Amino acid sequence: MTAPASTRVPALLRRHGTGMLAVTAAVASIFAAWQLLALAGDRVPSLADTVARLAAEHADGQLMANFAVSMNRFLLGMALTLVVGVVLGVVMGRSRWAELALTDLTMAALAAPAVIWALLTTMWFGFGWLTPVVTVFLAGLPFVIVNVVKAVQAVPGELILMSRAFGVSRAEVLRHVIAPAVAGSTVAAVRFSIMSAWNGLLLAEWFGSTSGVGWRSRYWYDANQLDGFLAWVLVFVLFLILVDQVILGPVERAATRWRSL
Amino acid sequence: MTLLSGTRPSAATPRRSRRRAVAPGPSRALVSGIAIAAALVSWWLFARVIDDSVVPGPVDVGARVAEIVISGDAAVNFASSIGKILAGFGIALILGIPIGFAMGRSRFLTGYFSLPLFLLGNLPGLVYAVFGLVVFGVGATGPIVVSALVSIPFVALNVSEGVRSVDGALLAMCRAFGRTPAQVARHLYVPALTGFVFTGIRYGFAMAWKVEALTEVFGARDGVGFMIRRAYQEFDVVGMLAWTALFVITMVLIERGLGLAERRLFAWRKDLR
Repeated sequence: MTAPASTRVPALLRRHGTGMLAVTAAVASIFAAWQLLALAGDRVPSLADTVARLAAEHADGQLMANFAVSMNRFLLGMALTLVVGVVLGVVMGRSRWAELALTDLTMAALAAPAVIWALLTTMWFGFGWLTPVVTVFLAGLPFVIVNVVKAVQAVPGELILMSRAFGVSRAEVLRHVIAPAVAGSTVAAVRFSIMSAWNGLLLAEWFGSTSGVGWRSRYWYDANQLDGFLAWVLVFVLFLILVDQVILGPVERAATRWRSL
Repeated sequence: MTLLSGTRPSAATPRRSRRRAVAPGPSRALVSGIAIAAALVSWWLFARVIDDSVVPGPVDVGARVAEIVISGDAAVNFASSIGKILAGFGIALILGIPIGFAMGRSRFLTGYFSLPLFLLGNLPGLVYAVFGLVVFGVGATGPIVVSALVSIPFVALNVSEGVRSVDGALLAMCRAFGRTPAQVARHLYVPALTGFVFTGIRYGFAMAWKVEALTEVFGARDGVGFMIRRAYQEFDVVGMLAWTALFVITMVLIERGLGLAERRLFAWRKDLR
């Protein structure tokens, strides 16, 4: 049970090569279920309405503008998360004292729901850019730390002892022994971290922002126009699939290529 | 989620315990306690320096936590939230185990369910919360359905992994010796699956807990999320932090308890950790 459940799905898709048939059937079933929901309850708008609204948002310029604003915040927060998370993770993985001191705090941070960060940052920083960026940072950080610590601890102790015996400097050990081991699992960590941080971003923009994808979806929700809200849900889903399949998959293979050489 | 596992990864365990046997390292409880105390003190200093009602100190928050616990509010709202999660979990088990079983036995169904399960497991909590509120209104149904939907992928994927772990040679032997399907299920599948189902429950629980609370933030009459929302609307940061602290403590305790139970129950199985 080492592979997290959510990452196992795309791996299965690749390994078994189930082909387009099963995936097409799945997509068709999802849309059919949606249409059924739309017919059964008058609260759920139909697929056609939702796509039409999405096209209208695009024609309006709202789609790209809000997405760009949100991506800026997201990338800034994630960059901070990665730098701080990898540094803390390597320190905790290498030093027993640091690990003992910080593990419980990391577990507590992991257990805190993203919504609390979104609400607190809204109160602290108001409706500025700091609210979403800090929420992204805090929501993503513990996932990076936990995974990097695991990766560093999985480095064989013999390798490090040998490096020491041959007088390899600390910087060299970091560069040639620890960095390659951590690279692969950082991608896995980033996957989780992105899911959590993206959720945090949406919530922070929902509660404390006047721009961005979260704000825009709230705009439609407040207007009681659920087709607008669902149009943005489509954007969220496409973003998730894009990140997972198109960006992280190849990056992960590149980062772990050295293992199969 | 895997990341919450209370046990160390198996690769690190023997090395670590051997090292500890040779030279007893620093006590975990002591060092961690000092670190937490240091964090609390720096929080206190920070709150003193900022001196603003939006950054309350740990003393105020601690007092509020005690107040909530003594007044019984904590018990009532946590019981309400946990009850909804358990109801949702029951539904997730009923739906997730057959899906996982089908996925373990059929390559086509694995491909078929992959995408829906990926979506269910990764949809932002915001989408679930709004879905629960819009479709089911304010009440218990929304959080129950939402926690069921969130935990189905964890149950299903772990069950499918368990079915795949069943030894094919054993299955063939059962067939050769004319065992009935009931016997195969009882003696082959059930022992193989229980461990995986338990793991699925553990990871799913951590996920469901958060999304359920978020759904309560958006619309509920009671529960932890609802209390956080109420404190937020009253600009009561002390209350928000107090409820969050209780939430985190409860979640860590449940997680530890499940981890402990898992190790006890499946101590006979060396392949699980």
